[in-house]
Amino acid sequence: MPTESTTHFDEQHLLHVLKHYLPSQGPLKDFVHHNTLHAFQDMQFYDAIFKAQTMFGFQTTFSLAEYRDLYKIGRITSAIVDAVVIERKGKNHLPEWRTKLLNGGYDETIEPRVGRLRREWANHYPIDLDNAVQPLLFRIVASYIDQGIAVTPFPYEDKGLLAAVRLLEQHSATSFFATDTARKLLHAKNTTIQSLLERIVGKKRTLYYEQYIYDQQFAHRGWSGLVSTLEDKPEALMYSKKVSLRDMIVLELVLEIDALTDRLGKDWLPLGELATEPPVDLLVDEPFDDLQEVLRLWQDAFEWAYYDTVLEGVLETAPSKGAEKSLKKSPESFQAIFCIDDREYSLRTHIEQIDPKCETLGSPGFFGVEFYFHPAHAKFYDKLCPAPMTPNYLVKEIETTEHAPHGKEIIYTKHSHRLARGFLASYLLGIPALGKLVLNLVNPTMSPAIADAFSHMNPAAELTIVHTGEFDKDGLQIGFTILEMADRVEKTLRCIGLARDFASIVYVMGHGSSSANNPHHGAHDCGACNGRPGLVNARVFAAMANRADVRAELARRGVAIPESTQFVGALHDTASDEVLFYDEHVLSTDNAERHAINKQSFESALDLNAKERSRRFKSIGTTQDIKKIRRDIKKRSVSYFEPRPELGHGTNALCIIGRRDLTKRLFLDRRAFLNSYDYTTDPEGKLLVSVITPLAGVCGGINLEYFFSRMDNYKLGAGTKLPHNVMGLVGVANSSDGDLRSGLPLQMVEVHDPVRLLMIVEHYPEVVEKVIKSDPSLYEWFEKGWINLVAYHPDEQRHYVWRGDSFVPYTTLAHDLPVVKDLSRRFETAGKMKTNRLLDATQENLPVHIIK
Amino acid sequence: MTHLLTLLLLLPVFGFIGCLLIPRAREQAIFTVAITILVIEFLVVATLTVAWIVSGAAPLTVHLGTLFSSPAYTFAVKLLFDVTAAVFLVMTALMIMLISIFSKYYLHREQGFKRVYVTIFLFLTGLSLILLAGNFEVLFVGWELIGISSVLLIAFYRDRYLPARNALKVFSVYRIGDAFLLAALLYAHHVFHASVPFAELSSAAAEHTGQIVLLGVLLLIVAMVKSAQFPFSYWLPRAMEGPTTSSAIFYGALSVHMGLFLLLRTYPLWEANVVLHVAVGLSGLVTAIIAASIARVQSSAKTQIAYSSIAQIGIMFIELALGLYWLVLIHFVSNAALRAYQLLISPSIVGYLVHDQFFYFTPPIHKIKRTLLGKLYGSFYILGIKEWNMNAAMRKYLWGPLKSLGRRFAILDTAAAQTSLLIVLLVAVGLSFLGFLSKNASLAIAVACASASCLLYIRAYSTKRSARVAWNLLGLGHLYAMLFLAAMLNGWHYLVLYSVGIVAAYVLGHVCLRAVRQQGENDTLVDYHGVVYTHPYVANIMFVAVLLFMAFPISPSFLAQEALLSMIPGGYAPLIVLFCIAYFVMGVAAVRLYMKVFFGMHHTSRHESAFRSS
Repeated sequence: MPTESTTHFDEQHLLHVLKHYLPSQGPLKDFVHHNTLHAFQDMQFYDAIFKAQTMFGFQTTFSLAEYRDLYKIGRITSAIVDAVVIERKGKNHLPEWRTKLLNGGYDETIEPRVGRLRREWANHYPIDLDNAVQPLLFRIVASYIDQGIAVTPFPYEDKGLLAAVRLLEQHSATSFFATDTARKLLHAKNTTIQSLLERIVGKKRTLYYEQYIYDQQFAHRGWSGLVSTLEDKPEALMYSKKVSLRDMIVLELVLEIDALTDRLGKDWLPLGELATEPPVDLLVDEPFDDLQEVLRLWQDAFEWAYYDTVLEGVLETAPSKGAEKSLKKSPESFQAIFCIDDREYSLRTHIEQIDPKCETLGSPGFFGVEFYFHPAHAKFYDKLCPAPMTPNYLVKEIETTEHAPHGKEIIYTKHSHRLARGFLASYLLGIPALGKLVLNLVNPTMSPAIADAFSHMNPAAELTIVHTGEFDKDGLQIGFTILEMADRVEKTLRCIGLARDFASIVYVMGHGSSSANNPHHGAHDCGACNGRPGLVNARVFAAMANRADVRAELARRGVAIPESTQFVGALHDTASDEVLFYDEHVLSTDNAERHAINKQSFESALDLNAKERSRRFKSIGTTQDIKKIRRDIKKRSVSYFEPRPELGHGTNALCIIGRRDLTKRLFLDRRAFLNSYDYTTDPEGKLLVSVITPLAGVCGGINLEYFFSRMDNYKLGAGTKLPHNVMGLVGVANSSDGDLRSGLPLQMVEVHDPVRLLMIVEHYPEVVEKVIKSDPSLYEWFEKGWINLVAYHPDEQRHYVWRGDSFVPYTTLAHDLPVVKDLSRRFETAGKMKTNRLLDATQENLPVHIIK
Repeated sequence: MTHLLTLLLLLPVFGFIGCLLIPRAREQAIFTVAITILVIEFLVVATLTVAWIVSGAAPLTVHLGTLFSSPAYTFAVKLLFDVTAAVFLVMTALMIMLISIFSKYYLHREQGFKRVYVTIFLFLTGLSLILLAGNFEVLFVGWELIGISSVLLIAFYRDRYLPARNALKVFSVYRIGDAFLLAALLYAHHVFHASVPFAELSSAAAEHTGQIVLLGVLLLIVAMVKSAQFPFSYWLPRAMEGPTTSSAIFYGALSVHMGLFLLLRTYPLWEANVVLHVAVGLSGLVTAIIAASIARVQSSAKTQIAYSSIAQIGIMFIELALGLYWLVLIHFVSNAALRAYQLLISPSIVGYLVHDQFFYFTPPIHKIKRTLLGKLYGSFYILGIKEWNMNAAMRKYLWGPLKSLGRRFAILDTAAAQTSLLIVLLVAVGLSFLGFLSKNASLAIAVACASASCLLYIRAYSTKRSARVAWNLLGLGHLYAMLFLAAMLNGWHYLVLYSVGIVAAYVLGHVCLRAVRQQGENDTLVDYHGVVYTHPYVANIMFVAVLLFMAFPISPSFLAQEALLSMIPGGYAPLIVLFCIAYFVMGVAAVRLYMKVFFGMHHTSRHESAFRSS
């Protein structure tokens, strides 16, 4: 152990560690799903979650009692438990570990390492430092970052947090601080984190320094995390603010000295002199104990109990090798490319049932066209592609109106918060407010205060899709050249195996979500479009693929799109279950007729989709008239009183990369991301790399965010959204003094079964292995077990499961899956969830069924 | 119409009992009962109002009965229905009905679905009593009811630290108001030599112009507390811890306007007094300016709405001081509706303002000029962020000194000290029984007892030892309070009545605390322990015990206390002040003890729980 005098406090190292472990959620307007425990992603999954638990006290698994309950009701079968234990412990140890799993008694208390030093303040002085400092600190930081709630913005916000506070103090007769000591420290040139720590922790107690700051910062990981994220990504804010984590720490330390001096006078001993416990190393690794081993086995069993039925379903329903050839033929009615999103799974199933001659495909919802979008009259651009990409292109909406078609909601007027104008407002707006309240209760309709997925683009406006030599001031190329278009269309089509056999109409279906009173509405939009609705991408892709010059180029490259084939962009609102088609006027007469029929099919499919979704919604009777269900679903998306306009990605568990036939006859209860892929067109797996790479990030990110928000909705999720208070338009907190709550609210994860993503790839195991190993950052997801992987061998027609370093044949344990003839009936008869400690009642996630 | 008025008092009680009896998983049944009652309530209010207008709109007074009477004191249940009551009742019934419908969906599947509706009815019971009260006594009962139901609403998410702490914080401030109301009630009784119904305030006031100022000031302070006027404003944003809907009805629309209602209700009392007009107007003016300056700089949606509303209520105070009666009523209706709706749709503000900003954003100018005006601007900005130091000042000048006074008497925590105090008490009782004490000695004893009881309560408020110790201190404090009353008065039967409630509460409380302690739960008062997580039923019983111990209006002790206090001769004003302080500390100490043991995060078992800061 290093002695005190030799240890050197390294501020950079401290900040680096802090930034690594703080949440990286940005402002709410761009909700991008990511692995909540991203800081631990370089570790094996179970090592990581248990380390996070001992460090921060996160609850990263179910409790033993919950797993045992799942076992009792048969969700985890005895056979699976045996298989999992044998797999990890060997056959000889089966009885021993089985007993531990089922009956072992363990102390499940978590004693997090973080926070121990800070707690000592209370043991020595009658002061609660958190209470004394945090409310004011949060207020200052929130006001500084505020994007537009306050009537008066924080002065000098371009100078940096600390500089702005200093300037404001200089220009004021009052002060944030109660003592001169603190004010002097604030203005002193030589004030650093270290110099402040010397006062608070003690000059010679350097060993405690890092621990003190960890305790301090992780006690409010919401605000610290946001500041850290904004420091690295200032462009995430429209109203730009210069913040840094260092500034925030200095400010907090000065506030702490202020509070201590104010309450205790000048003579208080630094904490390091009083501490009775030796310093704790927050980051140290500890080996698994028995309890963790047991929890790990239970979690594996819980996951495989589900995976196993899915894999069995694939075996039972995938067409046999001989039958395949006869199946493959050009679809007669239409093709529709959906986003891979799990919420589109049900719509695809229903449209296929209604029009058996159609074909549906899945591709990430930006459809391979990445660009910034500039709506007419807007002051900013929207990035419309997966978050990690940085586009070089700009697509502009050409003005058709003189002003932005944006309605105003008078109730939000800031005048109502001022003195004199508020006086008028409080006289004049009360009765209109009452009227609005009554109207929204009786007959909810869309209003400017509600996030509307369709409003992101004016359908009548032209877009600058073709590059004509122009660039914007930041050097973005406006529009795409013909070759660039052809590249994107070709790649997208080839990746989903749609390079031949085109139907006369190909729909390109983006998705978005409308909802009211929902600060997290961005989390319901398309993850592949950076948390925005995918309508512009759909429309741009369709326009590109319809161009004769692009098609000529494509034909040269071997993708021959018949002249009669036309692409139509569309948007599916996953909350209101509405579809809007774009540029229908370009359709030929024949196609227009077909389109009219297809629209009917989509309508019917949306009805059924609404019915399927309604089984989760208590306010909508699943057995009532289907048109009424549709209307109710629509109303739900525009009701202020509805905290669950939709359930988002709740229950997501699978990502299937392969042909649709693999799962076409399976009912998966909206739990699968489906990416179309035809291994026969890609024997070497060259396309597969570009298919899998974004999926691991997008689907893995969504899955793990839901996983952890469900496991610990208090610490890793945002808790129930009902008391949330919007802070500075960037986040939500509880109460006026609370820390920001990152992660997902309870209402989004309540139906979620926290299982890791199972990715099933239809290809030869050796090809899949080669592909995942080709990129270390991709390989990490599978090597470390953050995503489970199965290769479905197309010739042998059996599964190979990835065991961390190689593929091993897998024999399913489930057999005779339930068969369903009438899906609608099944939705009506679904039972109540038997185990859900989060809530009193919700409907059960349905097991895998085979559709007859 | 008398029957309708009575019905209005009973309906919320029916709703409370109805919702309480239904198992919590049966959302639909709970909602059906609730909404049926609330619709009836609204219809009754509407019918009543129409019938009353048709019949000439003269103030309607009703004498429902007398709870007890003695030569010196009568506790009569009197109701008054006039324009003010009508407007407030219509608004109350309407808002609660609408937002209850809203809540059915909003709170669907929330763990506390049932608790919300139960508490709404408790709150409504209190509100109805206040709005229909025909005298101070009835109003006081209502006042206490909405205080305690506020605790339940604010600490709705009782497994988190901040709601528990803020509920206690709000209750403590409320208690200041309650104590002043008690003082006003006793003082009014002393001034008028009888319990004067509100309807007769005007004529009564004319006869006692000299004493009206003090009475008016007492009432103004009560109103300032309840309507979150400066320097008490900081409680309002902190009350918004519960689900958005309950914050909207109670802290957006109804509860926060109750102070204003009190001033309206007692308007005849101070109508003719210029000093009081100036005081009310000034308090409103100061609040309006300060609250508006705070609202301007708030970056959190609900806090901003809270301070905007406070500023408007300040303006209503000014309007009232100017005698603009009708304007006040219109302002109240409109402000209540607007703020409730703003709160309800506050989560939507992210989508709306971000979208708005996307199209219309222009960076504001962010320099402060180096002028006097610039300096003023900067000063106001900082003060606004710090909420004008209201919270800190209250800590520094009230709670801090109270706690440090209590800390000096740490010895009272010991069993030896408590036993000695008990023996001293018994000796004093014995001596007085045997007639060894003269009239003068008995006064000395009274003073000593009142001080002792006050001190015991203060110690109970500041002790960190354990809930059991604090409970004993409170019990002992009660004994001394009784002895104080016994020494002053000759009302043995009231004392017996008083002790019945207290003793029952004392025993019940110890049984509850023992039950949780035996299960290995922590009952020190250093931090919050969240025992409700493991012992929800014990927590409920303990809550009842605390209410009884506080001589809450459900307890027989309440009546006895009121009666005894009113018998204290007017010359002993300092003793009454002492008693009001004791009453204030006692309530805060009892609720603190309860919150610390039962609310907040639970530590001992493995389950998810929130960070302290969230």
